[in-house]
Amino acid sequence: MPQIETLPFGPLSYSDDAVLEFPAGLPAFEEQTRFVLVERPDEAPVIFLQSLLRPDLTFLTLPAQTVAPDYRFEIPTEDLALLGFPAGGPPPLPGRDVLYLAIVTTPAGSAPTANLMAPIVVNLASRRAAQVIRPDTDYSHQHPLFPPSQESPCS
Amino acid sequence: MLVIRRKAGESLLIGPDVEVEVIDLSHSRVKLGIRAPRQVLILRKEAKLAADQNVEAWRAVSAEALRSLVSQIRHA
Repeated sequence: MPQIETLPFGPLSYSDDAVLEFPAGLPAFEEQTRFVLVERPDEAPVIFLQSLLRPDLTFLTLPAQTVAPDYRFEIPTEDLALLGFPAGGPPPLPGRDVLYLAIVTTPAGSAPTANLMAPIVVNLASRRAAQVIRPDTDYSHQHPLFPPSQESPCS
Repeated sequence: MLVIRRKAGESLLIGPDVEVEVIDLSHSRVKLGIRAPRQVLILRKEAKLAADQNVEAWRAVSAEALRSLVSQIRHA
């Protein structure tokens, strides 16, 4: 099993089919076109999104459905092409054809948030991926992971 | 915020070198054309939001942040 040495987490093992091509990189990291998804049982459901080109570039992500169980996302036509979905085909099915991952931000001293406005969209067949921005969704780029109303009053 | 009403084909000027033209209007969208010097950065706001959020998310990653996140998810 190949390994990548990472700055925050030391060596991460991954399988070859976990390698993703990001033809457009990520916003702010446009030159980063190869990433790998790493899951470790101790940290489930968190999924690492690790650059294969930069050891210090690691994101923590969660499946969007973990953050919002009824998560819906419509991929714009131009992004369907970028991801390698055939034009005019049926919309890709979450879980079978496509995976939505939300990048998590864990700011020191404030509550963690997930970016549901611009999820990482993975074509599970072609292993092509992109961060797709949909400003017209109802979801925020800073969706609270633990809304105050759901916290237990005695914590 | 300054609010200006424009029709398709009309434009407005920002500073000496930037022109924004309303090219087309539909029910829920507007198509804009922008003339500006090459060095003027033009970004959709949501692209800037996504880029800034990615940098913030990346900077906050640490072993401690991961431990805390996993613990909060397990106890949520």
